[in-house]
Amino acid sequence: MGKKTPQINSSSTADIAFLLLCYFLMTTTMDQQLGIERQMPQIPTAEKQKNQKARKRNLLIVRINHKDRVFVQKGEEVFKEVSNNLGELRTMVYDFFLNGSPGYKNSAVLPERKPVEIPGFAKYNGGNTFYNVSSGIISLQYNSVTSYERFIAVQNELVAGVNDVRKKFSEDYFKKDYADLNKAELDIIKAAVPQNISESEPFKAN
Amino acid sequence: MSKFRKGDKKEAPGISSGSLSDIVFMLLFFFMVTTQMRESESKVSVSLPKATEITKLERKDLTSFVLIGKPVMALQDQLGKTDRIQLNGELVPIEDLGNQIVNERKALAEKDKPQYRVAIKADHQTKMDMVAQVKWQLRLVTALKIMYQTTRQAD
Repeated sequence: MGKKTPQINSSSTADIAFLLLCYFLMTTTMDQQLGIERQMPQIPTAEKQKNQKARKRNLLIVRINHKDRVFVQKGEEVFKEVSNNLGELRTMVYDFFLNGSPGYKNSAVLPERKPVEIPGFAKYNGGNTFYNVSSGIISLQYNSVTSYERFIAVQNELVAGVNDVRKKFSEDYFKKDYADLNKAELDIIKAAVPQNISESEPFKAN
Repeated sequence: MSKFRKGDKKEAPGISSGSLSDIVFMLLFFFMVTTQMRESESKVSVSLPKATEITKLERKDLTSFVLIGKPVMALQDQLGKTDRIQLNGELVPIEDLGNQIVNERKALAEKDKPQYRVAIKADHQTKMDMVAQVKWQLRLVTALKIMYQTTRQAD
């Protein structure tokens, strides 16, 4: 007859687990990484740079100066200050990119539209795979001493404006909310309503 | 024999604590699985700007984080108060950033390379000059996908 192995008292496992639990509770970081995504352009060759001239009506210039004041220039108009009301940028971007789309006014001083073939779009557009895409470009210019906070605040309004256009597009063609779109529909919307925001090199502070 | 017995001292049944450890273990596993240890210590202090039109960063494993900001208090004696750039726990001079990013990208599998992204975590007080320099270095090595990291602004 072998000796009986003594039983290990297991009442303290709960305490040990509690301690571990407390440790992981304290160290865990549940933060999500959030932000504004951007695709930068390649550095253009000298030859390409020469041909890069946008027509005035297709350009919306947003400029943040060295004192974080914000100005907008639409086409041939003069610069207008919107520092105290950045929300105005949002509606301006909305009007800018919607110009000339079906059922919307077509102003001669706002961007023109060009038909672009979008794969997979035909079934939402009555068999027509072409869509008139706005040629508009937003040029975001800033000074080297502009604060990052202001830069992001302006970017946020610009993206919000583009997203408003996308929301409208989504309701018009897909008959659903922009947030509920699947991958294929998102690809279509990205081609039809491009986020043409170009960030130039900063102006040097004097 | 009355239905309502008063003054009758009956002991409340004790709650069985046998399953307590099981519950605690389950919680423990949950936190062990979801926890993410901070991989590197920050040498610069960053408080992110706020924004509303934000997207979630996907594939964190394919992302390099570039921090821009003033050195943390403890290091300000050595490093001064000018903005510095940090990549993976080490301060990097701006000229070296491109090379380091290339090395980071090299380490990835071939099929993942197009999804490589650089997240810029800049302090909200940073001047755009620094951010623009970082962007230029990234463009030089064609790391063109970037994300300006922000926090969510409450509406």
